[in-house]
Amino acid sequence: MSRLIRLWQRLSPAAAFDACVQPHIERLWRLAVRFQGNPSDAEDLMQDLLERAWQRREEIQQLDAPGPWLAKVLYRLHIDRWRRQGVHSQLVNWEELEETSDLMPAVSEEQAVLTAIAASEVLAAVDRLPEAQRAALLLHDGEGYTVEEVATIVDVPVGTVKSRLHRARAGVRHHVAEGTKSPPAACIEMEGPGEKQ
Amino acid sequence: MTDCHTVQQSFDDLRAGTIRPGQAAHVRRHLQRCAACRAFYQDVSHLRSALAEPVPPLPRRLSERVKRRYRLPQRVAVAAMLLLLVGGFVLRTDLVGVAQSPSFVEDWTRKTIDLALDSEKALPGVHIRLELPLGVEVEGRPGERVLAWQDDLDAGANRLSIPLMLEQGAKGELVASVEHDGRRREFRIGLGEEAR
Repeated sequence: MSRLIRLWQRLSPAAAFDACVQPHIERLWRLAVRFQGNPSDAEDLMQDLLERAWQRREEIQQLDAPGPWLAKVLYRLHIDRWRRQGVHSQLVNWEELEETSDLMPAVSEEQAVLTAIAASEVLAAVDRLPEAQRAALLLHDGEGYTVEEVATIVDVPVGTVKSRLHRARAGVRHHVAEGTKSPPAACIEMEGPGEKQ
Repeated sequence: MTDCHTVQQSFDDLRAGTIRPGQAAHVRRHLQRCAACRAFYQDVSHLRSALAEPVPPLPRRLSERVKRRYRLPQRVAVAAMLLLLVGGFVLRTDLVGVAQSPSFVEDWTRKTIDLALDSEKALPGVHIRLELPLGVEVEGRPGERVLAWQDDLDAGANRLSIPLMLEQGAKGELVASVEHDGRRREFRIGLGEEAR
């Protein structure tokens, strides 16, 4: 950090806040759009994020890498909205779901199934995933956060993130290959960040 | 099947180069003989490409709304340049130039003052103090007339940009002072109408 920035931070909280957050805005915006599915709701989510970040600006400015912190807040806000929207209708013991993940067989298609279809169809299949898997996929495969960063953002162990990523990828292939019309699995998988704590 | 599962979960480590060499060789050998895992690998690449598709641009109104709310500073051209030479323990000041290009927000004018503090050697624990005239604020510090803090100067250039908000009709002097080891130097910069 340059001497200029350090002196600037002493004087102007708003400038320091801008310097911390601005480099991450585009990436967070992409994530917000993917999470929410449309720019209008994504804009509201971003507004909530920036207000929350402003309230905790002193904490952010102490971080070496505020990006994952901001993504974590964005994710939590997204989950809060998702829950309020009442997407889930059944409570399922999340621990049981995690334990059964290792029993899931690897995808057996011997031909690539995604290469011949449009990106919009792939994204539609992503939206059919359980929310926890979809979030892991969007963060890791979409926005390039490392598995360790995703684990921090969604507040689960690294192994759980790897498992979710695998199941998410397999799920997308399955949805595309089968053209299934079943309801989104999000209806039964309601795990959120707070429940693992 | 278990081996396929393990291999498919290793793709990220393989891409990131964080896989152990022996494990990497095992995964590659498996890919050569397993069509299902090759197909999975191809699909993961395609999935990543799809997720990298552009999204609608960040709405300008969001950016503007946030900036208005927090009054985030927009960098403007240097309003004034003050060169404060700190030679060892002897402080000297020189005004080396004045240029300005203020922007206007409602009834306030933005102006940035750049302080250049050049030191021949690193100076720890330098006391820096700014006194502002009536109607002048440091952006983000509303209502504060005096800002004082302690900092270390590096040897060489130390630059401090001060984003100011000047109320319409405000004038007076910004008084900047630097103190170290019992020696103090002060410099005054004219602000407001007469300085525009």
